[in-house]
Amino acid sequence: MTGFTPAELLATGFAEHCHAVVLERAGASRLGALSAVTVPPDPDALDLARAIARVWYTGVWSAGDEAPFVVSRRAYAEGLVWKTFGGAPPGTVGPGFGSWAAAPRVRAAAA
Amino acid sequence: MTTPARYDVVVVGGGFAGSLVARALGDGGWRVLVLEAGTDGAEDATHTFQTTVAKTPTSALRANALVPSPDVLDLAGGPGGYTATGYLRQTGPLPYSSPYLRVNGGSGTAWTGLVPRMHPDDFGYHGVGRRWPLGYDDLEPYYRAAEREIGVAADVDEQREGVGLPFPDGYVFPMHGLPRTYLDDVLAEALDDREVSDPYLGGPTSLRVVGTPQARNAPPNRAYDGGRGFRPAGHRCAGYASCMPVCPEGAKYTPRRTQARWPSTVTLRTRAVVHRVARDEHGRVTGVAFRSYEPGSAGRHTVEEVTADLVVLAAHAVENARLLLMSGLADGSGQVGRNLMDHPALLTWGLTAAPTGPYRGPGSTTGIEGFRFGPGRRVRAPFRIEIGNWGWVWALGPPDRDVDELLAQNVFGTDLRRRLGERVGRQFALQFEIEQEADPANRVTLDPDRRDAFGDPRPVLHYDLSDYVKRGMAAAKRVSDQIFALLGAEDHTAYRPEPGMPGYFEFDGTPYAYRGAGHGAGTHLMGASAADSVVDAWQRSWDHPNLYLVGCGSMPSLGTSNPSLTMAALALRSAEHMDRELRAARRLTVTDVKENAPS
Repeated sequence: MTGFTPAELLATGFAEHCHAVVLERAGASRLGALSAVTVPPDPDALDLARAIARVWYTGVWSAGDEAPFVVSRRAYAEGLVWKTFGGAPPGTVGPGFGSWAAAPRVRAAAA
Repeated sequence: MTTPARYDVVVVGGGFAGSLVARALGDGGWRVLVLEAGTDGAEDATHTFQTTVAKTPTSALRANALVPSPDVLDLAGGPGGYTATGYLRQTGPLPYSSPYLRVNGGSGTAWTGLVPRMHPDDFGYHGVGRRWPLGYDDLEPYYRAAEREIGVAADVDEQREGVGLPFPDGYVFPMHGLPRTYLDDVLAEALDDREVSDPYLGGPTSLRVVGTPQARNAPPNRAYDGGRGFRPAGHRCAGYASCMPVCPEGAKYTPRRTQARWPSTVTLRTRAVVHRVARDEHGRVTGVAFRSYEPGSAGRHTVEEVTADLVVLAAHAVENARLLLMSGLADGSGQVGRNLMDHPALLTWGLTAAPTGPYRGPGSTTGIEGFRFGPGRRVRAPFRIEIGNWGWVWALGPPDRDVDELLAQNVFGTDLRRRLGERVGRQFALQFEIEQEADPANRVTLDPDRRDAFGDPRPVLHYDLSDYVKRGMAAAKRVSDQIFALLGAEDHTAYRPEPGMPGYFEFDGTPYAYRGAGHGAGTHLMGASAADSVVDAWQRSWDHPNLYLVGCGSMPSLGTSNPSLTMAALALRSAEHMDRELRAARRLTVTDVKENAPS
């Protein structure tokens, strides 16, 4: 769903917490229904799939009428969107004085 | 009723200007009380920033309902124009779009940390706005003093050649210039020495990417101060890319650094909201009254008074004007609260041909300076181009937006990962900070109907952009188009009357949208005459000889430089004058005593 491998997701240290948040917010039955299919067929499953991808990519849980919130510092710090271009979320990593002068290193997405 | 506490000086506001004045006068041995309306600020600012959804300039602060700070989220655009909610009421055709922070350290707690000097040309008169009563040469020694206090990193030769600034022989900045970003190098490669045309100028303008002086730590320059060198406070900048609103490692100057240097003669009271400056029948001010509160106390407070020989208002351009209007002071010219200025910023954004690695390092390390000066500014507002290193965050928002956009198109999996990487990794922006001339119609007044938690009237702002400014934006957009073409970049700039663009307008049939650079100024501007200005060249009220109004509110024009360094230089210059005045008064008193004493 995210385009990141299970190993990459586990390496964030956010997987367990993420699962707990999704369970709490969406409920086991909706999550179970989602797990059963690869392409979400119905609008509800699609919404849930988006919410899960969103929380992985940005650390923000936003679904339905709920006010969006940052799940945790780690969720923000491990946001996948930053990893897609070899970056890090603002305020989480100090790569070192002058590091910004080098060309970016971009890791290619797993095939 | 207890006798009010007595100080030599009361400073209202613990921000940039107030902290500097307090330090200078405290070092002179004067007993100084600083009254700050906000709280002491969050110890957990980085945590607060990380866990707040909308990472605006106020997002590292804990909310203070009693002393609210205006926020960019208070404004929303739409087809019918903008709407404003929150602390400031707005009645103008266009919104004043800049937040400011009511917390100890003031807006300097969450500033970008760019500290270019104003150019000698900026102090001249170009047929619009107001005149400065002093020039670059008057301020030059104080620029150097401010660069020492703040700790500025820049290359003096680059500033001399690339900007045209004069410096004394042998001067170097305290620290070496910050390394450029990779993006800067990509742009310099494509743009340096190429020419573009400005629709309001006869000839072409040559482009050059020039380093911007930074208030963040770099290697100190051993040649500084005649070879004595410079010892920076705090760590070297490690590139957290969150300078605004918070540097997690304290590599950027904030007024809290100056406060740490205060001598014991300076006392700070936070949660002290001054609501009245008192005066006597001779026109001298005698002290202030303030509301002392506890956070979360729903407006309950006690009123305290202090007396002082000298009162300094340093509470931000809007709040200084508000306090003067509430106190009925300093308005012999009728200019208090008028001439509200900002740097309206036109942003353009796009994708470079190859990845540049945005969101690494400071928000902007270079700019393009060629449109700041010259005859063009008689016709259209001049502008300075900042090269924006943090993707599209100021233009549109953080990459969360790109995620949502792709998810809405049902893009998932490796496709999502690949497309986000290709997109966000190439994002960049140009930020055109446009000079706005003083216009008495742009003003701060009081709202008798909407009061704050203490019952004091809130500020009302009336703001608009002149055709002079709009022509500057039109020129900026044309220049941007040519820069994007030279870069071979995909231009994604689009201005729409939508919620995220409250500064939307049309000019000559073309849409534009601006944001506020946070450079509020002009509300108690200085001038050569009491008839048409609020303060003299020392930032002293024409009407009250022991009342000083310091900060960007005193500036009669902003030029195109981020104004904090100039505000700091002015504050240090004024502090010397205050010290002289206090000493003269003290000598006079001592002489009186001696003359009257029995022999």
